[in-house]
Amino acid sequence: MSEQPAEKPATFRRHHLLAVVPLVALLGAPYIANRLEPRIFGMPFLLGWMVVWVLITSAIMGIILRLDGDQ
Amino acid sequence: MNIPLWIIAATLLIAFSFCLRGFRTMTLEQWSVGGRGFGTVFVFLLLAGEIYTTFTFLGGSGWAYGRGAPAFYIITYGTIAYIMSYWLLPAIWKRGTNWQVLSQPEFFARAYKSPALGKLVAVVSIAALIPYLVLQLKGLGIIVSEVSEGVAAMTFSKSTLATLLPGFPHAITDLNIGVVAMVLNVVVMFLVHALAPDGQVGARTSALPQ
Repeated sequence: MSEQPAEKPATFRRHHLLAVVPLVALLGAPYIANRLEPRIFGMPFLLGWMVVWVLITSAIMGIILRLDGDQ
Repeated sequence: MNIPLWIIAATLLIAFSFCLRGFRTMTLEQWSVGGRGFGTVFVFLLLAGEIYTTFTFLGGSGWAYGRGAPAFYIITYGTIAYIMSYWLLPAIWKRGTNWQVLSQPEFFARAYKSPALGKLVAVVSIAALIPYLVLQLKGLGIIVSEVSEGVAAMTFSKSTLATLLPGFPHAITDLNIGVVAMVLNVVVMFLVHALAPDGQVGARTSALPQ
């Protein structure tokens, strides 16, 4: 087996900070969104908040991927 | 025989035929990581299938019924796992391909240049996987027995086990039982739920032996 040169570690770029937003929104949900009303599509607000943030997370990760280019 | 039973039978047959076809040309690399030739779409589908475990269908809903809102943590941790995997998985993929490793123990042994660590990872993986595998099979058995109104209860568990046994070392070393069990699981679950008359699925749950 020939030694391959070591991978260069993934470099930090400023737009990666976007990924912190869903983290805060989801982990902070019990403090930010711990309510029943208003209901979102019939779901209690807390559950609706999480479901909506799953979708927003996809969008944010899509944006990060776009900004990263062809990594 | 009702419609869900036919679907289950067809799925099993297809799985078996894939197994038989594969046996002829299979190398270890073919068998464990598909010859490293899986395309993006296929990997995506496999990962999607991985999510829909017995836990998703039975454990998750059981949690929600039993405990209520705390079960929402499942949504949160799943999403956070995906955020982390954006950085984690490509790194693992690159190294795995670069080093030509086939299994998780091999990966760790190579990454930390320690065969002892590799052995430890292998032992822990096997110990952790066995209860998981039992749980999955049991869950699958319950799902199928519910759907077939008890007809396939005993025989199915055994036949699933037989389908999975050739993949068992695969399960231990690599991607876990995903490739066969999860795809099967998802297909059966979705079709069966789509086809079952209202109230039929799960109607007998309370009568199941605990």
